[in-house]
Amino acid sequence: MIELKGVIKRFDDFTALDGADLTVENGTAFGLLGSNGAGKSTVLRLLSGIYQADGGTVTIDGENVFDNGAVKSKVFFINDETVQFSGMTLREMKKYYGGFYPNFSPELFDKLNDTIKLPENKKMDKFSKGMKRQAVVITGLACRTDYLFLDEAFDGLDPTMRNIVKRMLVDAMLDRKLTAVISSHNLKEINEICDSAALMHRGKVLFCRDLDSLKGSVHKVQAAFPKEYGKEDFEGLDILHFEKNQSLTYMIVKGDEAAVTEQVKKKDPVVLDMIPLTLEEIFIYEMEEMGYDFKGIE
Amino acid sequence: MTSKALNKYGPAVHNGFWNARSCFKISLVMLLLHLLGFPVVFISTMHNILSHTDSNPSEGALYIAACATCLAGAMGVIVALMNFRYLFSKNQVDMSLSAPLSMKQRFLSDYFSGLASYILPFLAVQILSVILLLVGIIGFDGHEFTIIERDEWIRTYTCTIFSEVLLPAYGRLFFGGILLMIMLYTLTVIITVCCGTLFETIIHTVLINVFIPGFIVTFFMTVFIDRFAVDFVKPFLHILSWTSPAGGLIALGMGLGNENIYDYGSVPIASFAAGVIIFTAALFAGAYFLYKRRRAEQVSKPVVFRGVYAVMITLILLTAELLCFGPDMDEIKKFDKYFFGVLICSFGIYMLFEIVSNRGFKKLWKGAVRYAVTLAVFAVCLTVINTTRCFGMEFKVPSADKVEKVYLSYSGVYYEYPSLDFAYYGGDGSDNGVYVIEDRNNIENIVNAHKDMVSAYKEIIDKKTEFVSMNDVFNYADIPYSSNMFSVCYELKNGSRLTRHYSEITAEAVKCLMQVEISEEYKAQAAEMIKEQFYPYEELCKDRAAAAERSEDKDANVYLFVSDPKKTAVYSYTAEVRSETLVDEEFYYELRDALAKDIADRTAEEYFTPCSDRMYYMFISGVFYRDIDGSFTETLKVLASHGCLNGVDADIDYILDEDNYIDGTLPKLTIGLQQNMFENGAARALYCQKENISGTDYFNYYATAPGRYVIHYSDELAEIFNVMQARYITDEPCYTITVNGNRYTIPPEYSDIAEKVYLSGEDPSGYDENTSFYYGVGVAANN
Repeated sequence: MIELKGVIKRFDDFTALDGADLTVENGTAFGLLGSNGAGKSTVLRLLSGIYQADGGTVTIDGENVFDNGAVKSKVFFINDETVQFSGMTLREMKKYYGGFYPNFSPELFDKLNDTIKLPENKKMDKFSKGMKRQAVVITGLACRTDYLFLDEAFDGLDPTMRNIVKRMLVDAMLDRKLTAVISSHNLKEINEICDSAALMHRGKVLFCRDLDSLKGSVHKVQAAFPKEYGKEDFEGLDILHFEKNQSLTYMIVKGDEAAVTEQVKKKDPVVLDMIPLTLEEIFIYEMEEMGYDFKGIE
Repeated sequence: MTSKALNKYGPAVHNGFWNARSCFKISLVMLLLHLLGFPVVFISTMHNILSHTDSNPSEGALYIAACATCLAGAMGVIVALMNFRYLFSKNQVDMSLSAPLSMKQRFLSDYFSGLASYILPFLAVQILSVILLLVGIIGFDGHEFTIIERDEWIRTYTCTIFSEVLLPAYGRLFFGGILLMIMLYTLTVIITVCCGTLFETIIHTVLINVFIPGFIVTFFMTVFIDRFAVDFVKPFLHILSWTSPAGGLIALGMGLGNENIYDYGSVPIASFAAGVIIFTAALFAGAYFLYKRRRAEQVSKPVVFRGVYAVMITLILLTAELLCFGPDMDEIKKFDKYFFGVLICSFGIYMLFEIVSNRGFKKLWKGAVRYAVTLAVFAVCLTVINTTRCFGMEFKVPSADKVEKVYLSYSGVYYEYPSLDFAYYGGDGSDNGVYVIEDRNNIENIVNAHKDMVSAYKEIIDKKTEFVSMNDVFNYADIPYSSNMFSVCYELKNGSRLTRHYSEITAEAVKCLMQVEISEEYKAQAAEMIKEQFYPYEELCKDRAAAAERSEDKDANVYLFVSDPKKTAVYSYTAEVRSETLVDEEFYYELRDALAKDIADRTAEEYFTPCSDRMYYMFISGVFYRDIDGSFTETLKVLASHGCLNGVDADIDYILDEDNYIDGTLPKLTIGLQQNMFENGAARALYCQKENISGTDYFNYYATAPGRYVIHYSDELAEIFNVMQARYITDEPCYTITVNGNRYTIPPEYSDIAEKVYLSGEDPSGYDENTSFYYGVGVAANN
């Protein structure tokens, strides 16, 4: 299990994480969502033992990660850069990582490469960005670690390759209960792969829960009322967004569906529809409430 | 299959092997460069031996070997940078730091794998070099072979270059080289840990390697050396060799030697090794300590730990200030345009470094404050050193009862003996010129001499406002002094040593040392030194024969020349006034033993009072020369028995004849009245010596009348030639005459004759110093 408790991380005068709390259960796919500069990559690097927290604790299976070789041998981090591998061939990558990770499987590596068919003896600086990304992913999977952290791992992959990589991930999760933490701006993919997610903004975790309950906790209410009502008239509701278009009122409301419906019905709506939101819409409206939106940009 | 086969050594070892793999090409380059080291020297030597041209390696081979080895050594910087590149390369950070290693494992793995990549090529070539050396020693040392030189004459050499020259040099370079390579590598590692970009790492590496030894050399040379009469050369060389690879190279070049009081030009092997190992271990510990505190996010920050930057910039600043101002605070007090110019330039350069290291103008005021504080602290330190005279060391004289023995190098009141400046002696272990004094009376006298010098010096400096060293103070103070060199090393009963060197000593100190000179202990050692100056007759003959083969003008025989210095001053070195005798082996050693016995047996009266009746100068084929006077009874007996004095003792009549001069060399005569007078009117004893290298004698002469040139020959002048003395003592004012640059005393009883010659002389103000005055002096008869 991955746990971050009250984690603080500063870079000179900038606070990247300000008391972040996260829990990731074993065998799950966890999505890290957030605005640019929210602290997602920082979290992944803390979990990989690259950074050391300035406050709080970062543990995997109850042990601190930083400066702990044993814990780090259970973790593989795929970052958003591929330049560091430029001098290697795929065969050399296999040997390099094979020497570090005790469970590295050359057979699995070869099997995965059979699927994507990357050249083994060609220097990776001759690969395209997508090919480098594929090489790192199959290496990470072949290490057979308990935890896999992916930072914008799908960038540069074509749609077909994305699906292949996603399938590889899912297979690994099913096969050996791999725990994957995926940071991405592609909410559709997070929605497809992840069981739970956290939304971060300016170093804080706004929420951390499984996706089903997340989607079930934010609703789009579309209603028509006999009278004119403003946002302030719906006291009992946690409204993220309130909009009126002629006779129709649109509200993005957080809370239990039944409770929200009951509250709205008190105003005797002529028309009332509860529309489910996509993860992207939830993200946008949550961010809007934090003041992170496109209003004012001309 | 899991990766057990790939991972059987563990991640740290795997990381090390992978690093070594990455450095393989560099290791190969280093291997090739090292092969241009000793193997090239060996090949060159063998070529010369086998082609019968020489037994030494060519200069070109030595230069190639030195340059290639140094270049290979310098590549340790590149290896360290490659192994720790994730500390300054953002691309490598995630990949390296996410690997399943603890920080300790990663550091040790990266450090030792790089060290192995660096050292192994060197070691591999040394195995080959040892084999080559053994081939040379076994195959060639001790063999005679013939060399035919360009002009086709034949020489026979015995080859010992491998065991006598190359083996010790090789051993020194191998042992010292390994230690210095490890030091350079570790120094680069700690600098890499402290810096966050490649640019800063390289700049700091270069500047620190230059300015650590640069500052040490500048600091010692300007602040300590030759300023307090204290020997700082040894501690200076030690510190220099311990604290930087460049400094250590200097020590290697000067030669690692054995502990020896005289080995001031070299650093003992044991202390060199201990110092380098301790310093390197400290660097290693510091590197690890800082590495553990290093954060991944600090990559691309110019300087992560400001200490290394502070060290670098301080060394540069202080070296520059010392070079410009020296240690003398009086220069700084002048506040002239030079002073401000230097300050402004150094401030500008300092601020430039601040801007570059901070990547901008932020916190520039802090840099300005650091600059001012650094200079102020340093100025205070220099002032303290100057004011306290190196914390009282300059005045320190041990009490005689605490001294176990004294090593003394002193040329004697007549400058008879070789003298050594302990601070600069090259250190071949020879103790010629150094006396070991254990007699309590002698030790007492040496201490008293030293105390007198220090006390006189203190009186002088109390009246001075500017800094003066003890070695240049007496010549403008009203104190009689001598330009004798005086080096003394006290070996104290507590095991420590105190060494001082002076190039001027007070007259009172000379008097104390005169008691030492005439002691049995001193005379016995002086006699042995004289014997050692006669090196083996067989070797002398070999040298003479070799010289004769090279030049038709040279004679292979060994000759002894004896002359009367007074006559040769007048007549030059002609056959008429000089005897030439063939010296065989028996005569050679007989003469040597006679000289030694005379020196050991002479009394104080004989030594310190003039023997006006006889004075000779003897010279053996360029090997040995000295003056002997009438007290050298045994020597004179030996000379007389071989007929060496016959021509020399002959009377010479002088002829007034302007056209009849001998060999075109005529004496230039200056006569003047000399007296050593002081404000209280007391006269002092005068010692006059035939040759004055520095121009001053035991006591300063104060001329009471200006000198005059003697132009015209007279009977009185002839009389003066007969009675003038090369070495004389008197309390009375008297005349001296300078003949071709050599000054002689005219005994006071002949002052009236001297005065006549003086009054007939010419005022020199109308002539320039190069004017020659020729008059005829001929030889009437020669028995």
